Amino acid sequence: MNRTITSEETEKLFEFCRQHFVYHYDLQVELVDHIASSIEDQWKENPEIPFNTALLNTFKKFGISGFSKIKVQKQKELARKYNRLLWKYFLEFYRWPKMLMTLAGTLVLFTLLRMVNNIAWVIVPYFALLVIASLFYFYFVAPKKLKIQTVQGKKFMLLEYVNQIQMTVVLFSQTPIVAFNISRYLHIHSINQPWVLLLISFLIVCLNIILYGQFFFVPEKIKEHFREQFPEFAL
Amino acid sequence: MQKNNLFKGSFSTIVLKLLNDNGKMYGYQITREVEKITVGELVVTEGALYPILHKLEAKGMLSVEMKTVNNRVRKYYFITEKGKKESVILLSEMKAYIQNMEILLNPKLA
Repeated sequence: MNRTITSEETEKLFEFCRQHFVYHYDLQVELVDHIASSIEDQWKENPEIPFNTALLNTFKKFGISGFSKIKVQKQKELARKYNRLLWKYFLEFYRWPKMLMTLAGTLVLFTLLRMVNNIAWVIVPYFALLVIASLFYFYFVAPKKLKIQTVQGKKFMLLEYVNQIQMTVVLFSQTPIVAFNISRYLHIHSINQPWVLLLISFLIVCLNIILYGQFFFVPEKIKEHFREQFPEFAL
Repeated sequence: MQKNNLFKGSFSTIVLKLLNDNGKMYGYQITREVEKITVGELVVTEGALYPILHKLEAKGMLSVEMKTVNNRVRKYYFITEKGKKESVILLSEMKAYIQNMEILLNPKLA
């Protein structure tokens, strides 16, 4: 009977991955199986090869960059996957009735901005609300409902990236307040022009729709993918 | 190493074709299969295989399934409907390219 990798040796392979800067379980699991299969193949020809020698023989095949090229590439692909998901959400969202809702929202906001003496009366509370809602989401909603940090003590690249991309959207959603501050600081009065106000209103509505997609739609889709791939770590 | 440079560009097509013909496969199996079919003429480096697999997976051309084999988790890749369509296009493009190269390299003298 051919010699196979034992559970202790599998553990050593996971440790080997960690030593080579692969910390995410979803990537580790694939590399561990690859190395283990290759070691077992070497044992078929010569069962006397020590485990460590066979391991190093396999690792050499990964080339000079080792696991790092695979890791970086995987992160890039995940970023693309998330963007494609967000885009899909956007297309799904922008069907007829919701398109009208966006226009209606923009017009309501625009009217509000025109009614007040100083647009700060609308922009500042909006910004405060956004900060409160984001904090509430990150500290209360996400950890409980979405569990996107670690699952059973393991880190998953597929899940971790959700958080990173959400942070980017939160930063972007502050564009209106930044634009407002800059205009105040530089005394640009054209901010009160109707077309500028209309643009700001549209921007705010769109950013909030994107924010909603990143906070709720994308994580749900990622969770579905995760459940398909790792049913033993049910979220 | 010239042959490997040429091979790199067509690697996605080869992976899709292999998965289309063989059904489910895991990473190590793909490297061995390519070597076996080409009698060792083409060697798939691990550093090149996984980025391609992850790219095809992220694009939705491959889907994955985890199974426990020999006390460890194995990630199997299989082709999706989208991948099948793409593989047909890529293969026909590759065939056309090979034909053009044939004409260029062996011009028929009148």
